[in-house]
Amino acid sequence: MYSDQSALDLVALVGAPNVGKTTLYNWLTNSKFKTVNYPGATVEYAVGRSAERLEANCYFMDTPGTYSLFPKSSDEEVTLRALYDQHEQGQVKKIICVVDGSQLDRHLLLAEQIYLSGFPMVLVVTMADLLTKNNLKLNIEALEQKFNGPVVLFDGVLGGGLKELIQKMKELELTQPTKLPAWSHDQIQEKIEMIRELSSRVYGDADSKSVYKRTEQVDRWLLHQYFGLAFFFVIMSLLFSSIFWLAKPFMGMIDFSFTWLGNQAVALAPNSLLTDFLAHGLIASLGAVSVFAPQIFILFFGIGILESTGYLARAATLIDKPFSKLGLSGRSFVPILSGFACAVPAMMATRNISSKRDRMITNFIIPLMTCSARLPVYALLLSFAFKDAAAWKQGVALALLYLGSLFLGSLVAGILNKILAKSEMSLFMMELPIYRIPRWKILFHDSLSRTKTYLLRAGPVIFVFAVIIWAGTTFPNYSTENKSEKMESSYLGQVGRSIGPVFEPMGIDWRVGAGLLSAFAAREVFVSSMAIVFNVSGEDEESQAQGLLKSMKEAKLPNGQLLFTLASVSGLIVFFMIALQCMSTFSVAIKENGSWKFALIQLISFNVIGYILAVSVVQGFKSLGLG
Amino acid sequence: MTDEKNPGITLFDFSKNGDSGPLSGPQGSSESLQKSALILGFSGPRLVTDRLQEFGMHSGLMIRYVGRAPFQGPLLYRMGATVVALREEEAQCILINPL
Repeated sequence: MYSDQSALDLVALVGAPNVGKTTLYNWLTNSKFKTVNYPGATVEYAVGRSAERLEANCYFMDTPGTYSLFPKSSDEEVTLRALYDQHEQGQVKKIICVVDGSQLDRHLLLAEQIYLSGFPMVLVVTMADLLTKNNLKLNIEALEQKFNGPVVLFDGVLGGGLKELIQKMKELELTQPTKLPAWSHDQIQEKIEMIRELSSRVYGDADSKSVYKRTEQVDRWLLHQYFGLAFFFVIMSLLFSSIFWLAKPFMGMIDFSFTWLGNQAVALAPNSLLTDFLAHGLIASLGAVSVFAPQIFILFFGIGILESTGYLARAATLIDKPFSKLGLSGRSFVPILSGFACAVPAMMATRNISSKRDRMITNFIIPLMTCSARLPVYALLLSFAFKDAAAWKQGVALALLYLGSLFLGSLVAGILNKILAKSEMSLFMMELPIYRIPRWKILFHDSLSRTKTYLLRAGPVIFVFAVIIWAGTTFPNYSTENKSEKMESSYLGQVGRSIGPVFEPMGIDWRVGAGLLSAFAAREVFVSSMAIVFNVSGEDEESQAQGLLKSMKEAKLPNGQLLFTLASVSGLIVFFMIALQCMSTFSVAIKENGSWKFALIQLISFNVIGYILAVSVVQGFKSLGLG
Repeated sequence: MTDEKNPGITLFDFSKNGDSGPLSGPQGSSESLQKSALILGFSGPRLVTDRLQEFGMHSGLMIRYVGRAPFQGPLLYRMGATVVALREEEAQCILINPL
């Protein structure tokens, strides 16, 4: 089966941003690939086995969008390196160069560079559906002659052209590619002239105006001086509010299932340690975090829609001027928006910011954005603070927290912009692609797999902490009837009291303090820790979530005062807004900035400032008599 | 292609006095009212001029000013089927001949 010459060769897909490269990649691999992706684009290269039914028997590699083989941003360096490096699947043997059929004059320069490097190449012209719809007929022979190789038209919506592409790719003969020496200014001019002449021959009398007519009409609204901003706010509010109202029924269902599961476990053997661990340790903590999976899915899905329709490029354009006042650029918009999902892919997404200074400032403020791991924490704390208030108040408070993180980010960026020396010129230069209808199936599949990754990654950490915290609060006096006495004399209680003084100024006791410490493994662990520490009397009929809220509401400090008051909850929220409690973010910060110093400054300053502000808020509230 | 002796008029000079193009209203102005120009060459930091050319800009290309993003943000130009958003400093690196 693998005997033919192209068997298991590594074939790279190369093309400018927004040409439909990733769509083609999805068709070629049947969406089965491993990748470190962020909603919006390819930041690492992804490698996947060819879909079985295509009988291509090779690996396909998707690379970040690039305009040329002479890189200008770290994103483009990734692509260049990927083409020449040795990979697990060997070296890149062939290239599929992807160009947008409605913009050949802009994309063929890259094809020329690949052709001159000597890679065996199939040229794929995308947007075939748009071309057909608008009766545009291209002179494909002219392209075949120029690049002395096959050219295939591809329709990303229906997958038309796929078979032909595989056939042509298999027929390519292997060569020894070389690295292209940099072009002089005159050479570039010469090449550009050649490409212009070539594309005018390919287009002939065809008029591409009809292709972009609808986009132009939509842009009149979406980029309008006033309406444009209004749409921007409406679209962003819709995205973030849907995280709550749309997710609510699904969250209810998940909460219900875990509550049922816990009750079943207890019913198996009501007084055994094992079922106690299962119900009040493992199931409670996994349930506390799984409840938020629908919200995370909706966030990824929403960002995916904005990206694939072409709106994100418009949003970046709208926001460029205000952002530039803070030392950022419109290009920082996508990474910052992704930061609301997770700081790890968001930091990787800063690679397409060409200015080092812009990139550093963006990376510095990303961990301040309300990432999905903070969501469970805020939701818990707010539902506690607003337990008897109308549901919309909680929603408004959450919206304010999201806005608050943007405000904090702007503040920090503004300060850094003042402190840091200005270096090279920062570039914006953004292409606004034609509006397209998203491919819902791919989007759905993608968001689902990201949500799964989130749960799988969080799972083991939550399990470990569930064991530690359950055992720590259960032993040594596990047979004691009095629950609070059992807790006080437990191992965790003993350790907790020794670190208690650190948390006292925040208005919290050692139990919450232990939760805060466990949150350094991952923020959402705070919620599962709280579920174990406080949900000790979970044998009632209520749902898990309600049970937890009830025990938290009744919890008292050693001096008899209530533990969770407006003051202490506000203090906790302030701490979670600022503190950098995520080890994955810390390690990505080191990698993406190539500097321990950057990551350490970020880690220490965010945590120290978070603690000081939290203490100030708590003490401030108390002095006002709101403790 | 940098013309040191005759810097001429830049794409930015050309656009700054114009109205905001079709983006000024949902109905928009007709295409004939939009301002077009021919690119003559480039001048400015190599980083910018190289990138502009890789973006598909070249001398002789017709480029049309279509408007400006809010807050005096990036300027929007159509070239062929594409719209590109350029900052002032970037548009200043493109030398043009108004049509």
